[in-house]
Amino acid sequence: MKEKVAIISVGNTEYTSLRRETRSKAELAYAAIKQALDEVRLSIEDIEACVFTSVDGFEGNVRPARVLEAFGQAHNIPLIDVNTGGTAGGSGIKEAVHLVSAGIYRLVLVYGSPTFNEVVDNQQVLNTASPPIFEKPFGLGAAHMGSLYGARYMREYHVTAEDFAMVAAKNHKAAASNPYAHIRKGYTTAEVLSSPMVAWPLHLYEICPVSSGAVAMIFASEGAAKELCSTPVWVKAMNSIADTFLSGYKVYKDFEKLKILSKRIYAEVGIKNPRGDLDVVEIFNPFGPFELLAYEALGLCEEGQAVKLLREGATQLDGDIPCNPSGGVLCTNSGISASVTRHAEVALQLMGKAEGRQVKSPEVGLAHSWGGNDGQFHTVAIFSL
Amino acid sequence: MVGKIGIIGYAVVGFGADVRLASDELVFQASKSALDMAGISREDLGTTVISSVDVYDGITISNGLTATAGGGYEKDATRIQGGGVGAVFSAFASILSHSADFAVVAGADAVRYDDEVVSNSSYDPFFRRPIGMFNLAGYALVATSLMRETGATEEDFALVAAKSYKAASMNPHAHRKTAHTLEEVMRSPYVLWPLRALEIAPVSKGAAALVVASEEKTKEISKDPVWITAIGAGTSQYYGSWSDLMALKGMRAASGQAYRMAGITDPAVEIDAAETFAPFAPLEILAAEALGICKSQQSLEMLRHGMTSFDGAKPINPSGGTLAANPPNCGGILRTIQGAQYLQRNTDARKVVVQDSDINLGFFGETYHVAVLERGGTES
Repeated sequence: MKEKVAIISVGNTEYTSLRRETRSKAELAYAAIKQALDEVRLSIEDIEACVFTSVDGFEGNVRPARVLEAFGQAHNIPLIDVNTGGTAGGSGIKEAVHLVSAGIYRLVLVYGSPTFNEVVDNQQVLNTASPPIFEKPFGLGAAHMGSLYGARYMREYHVTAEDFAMVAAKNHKAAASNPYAHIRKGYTTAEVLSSPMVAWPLHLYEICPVSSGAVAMIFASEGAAKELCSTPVWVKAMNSIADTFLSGYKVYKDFEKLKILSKRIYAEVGIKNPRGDLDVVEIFNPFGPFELLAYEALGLCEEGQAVKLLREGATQLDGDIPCNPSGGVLCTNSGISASVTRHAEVALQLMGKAEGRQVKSPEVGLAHSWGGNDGQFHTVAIFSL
Repeated sequence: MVGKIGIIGYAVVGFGADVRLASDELVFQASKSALDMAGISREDLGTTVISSVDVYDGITISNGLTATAGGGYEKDATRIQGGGVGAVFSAFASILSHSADFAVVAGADAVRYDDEVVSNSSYDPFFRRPIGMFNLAGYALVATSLMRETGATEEDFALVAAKSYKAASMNPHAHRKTAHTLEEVMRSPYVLWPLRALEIAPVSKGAAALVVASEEKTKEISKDPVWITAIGAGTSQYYGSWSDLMALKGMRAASGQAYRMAGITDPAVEIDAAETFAPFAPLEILAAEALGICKSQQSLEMLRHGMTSFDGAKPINPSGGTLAANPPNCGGILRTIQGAQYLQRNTDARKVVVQDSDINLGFFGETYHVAVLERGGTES
């Protein structure tokens, strides 16, 4: 990167179910953005560009940002619209980081839209992201993407249903103390296992809910960050990787592209031992097993050793490598908002502002997002104090 | 100035009313040809930026289909919605932040859709969508307002179209290649008064791709490159006033930012030509002033005197512009290519402005981009 870039602020709304949502899309955007601005005593006209992240297909509008007047349109602030599926949060943040690092803007706001809160049937919409002629007719939806990875991983490493339930329970326990989580019931391993089977091997509580809520983050140049914020979180590296559209080539036993990407990123920032060098990790885990696949792809453990890492308790809030102390996407999935939230959560952790879910004095964190047809895209960001 | 990037390769497939290829095939063909022209391989790429909107591709997360076709396999890739110059802006930021040395910016238009329905669905569900607001209705409202406020006539609109078609007849990639005369434009039927059929752009199918590179890499590859020295962006208010809309405030913000970045203080003097996004002829008249290419209140006079024709003193849309070809996903990339080609063909020209937006979805809440292209030897 050319110039240093920092996260100086995060704004969150509370999260609820889309069926209980009473706030409009504009109100959600306003609430999240207002909080992010207030935190650093800025007003919207101080922002030089806004990055809107969503997936059009899920929204009630084509290009919904056009009609939401929360992004300083009255001041003709540029609104940059990024859509790369579930990774749109990561891609949008990457856009903001590039714009600030290049010296084009000093202050850029990234907004994660509550993508799912107008959708009647998410599975059906997600099916339209599949290759139209070869794969869409099979009826692949979001839950199936999770189950394909889960099933193959189970077979590959002799993982049990209980192992999967354990990783889900770890997230549910964490979410119970996160004021910005949607499902805060703290389901135990036994409760996860007795929840209804949705798409084998995934039970209901191993699959994310459909949430509504929004998040905003402000990115600043070095000068602006030091002026406006006492605990800026610096962006050390940020990148993405793309896989093919057709799923037929995929093996599903691991996140092979994430493995390539994380190696590149670690080399860039000089991380040699991820488990030792990272202090907090937020993984995009709409399905329980994803977290285990990501442990391995991110090099937190050897191949096939994720369950061991989990059972050791290393990835819990008080473990040596806490993963998803927020409860992850598994407990709160407001669409692309959840993709931005992975980064916002790591930033809050490093700032020491992760109320109810604070990891003990972390200095370096990693945020991950996943998206596109059957997870063809990944993004990884490394933040530090 | 924050730095500049070089255009080292480009390619266009089409344009026409229909294509026989799918979006990914189109993106592949255009990107591969552009990489070949640049003399680099996919392995050299730092990023691939796709310009598209899901609804124009008929599938959700449609860049899933095109990202790897544009060279993005196992690479960084992203997708920008809101016009091709917006995607060029993303590559510009990527290269200037030292995140990439080379980037492909590509887009394709292959899928047939109902433009009126798509445009209508981009309006809010409570106020404007139920009254049937859609892009052409907004265009016609702006045209009537322009007539009332500036004394522009229907002949003026036809004149813009006729000069575009004359230029288009020399453009091998034009969708409408016939050099329709002023009389022919005036005889074409009204679609929405005061707009006639030949004053409204077609919806074109095809693809366009650009390969851009850092200053250092560009100098290694090209002796006489075209540089992108600045890009600005601005968004208009959805519930803004009519006078704000007529002032094209988003476009003014975008051009202001771009000119500051490029160090342009008097655009009317310094800019030699412009490629603009005008899906209906009258917008070119308004845009010429919002871009500062014509002094205030002078764009009609310049048009009437032929100064903005392709062979005039200040050509606007010398390629034939949007009336010649209007692919919604890759249009901004096409305009950037045409701006670069203008500089390559006209050796005395130094600076060209490329203006783009997402108003193909309609007015209100639209985002504009303005890029400054400059020619200068590698020593500059």
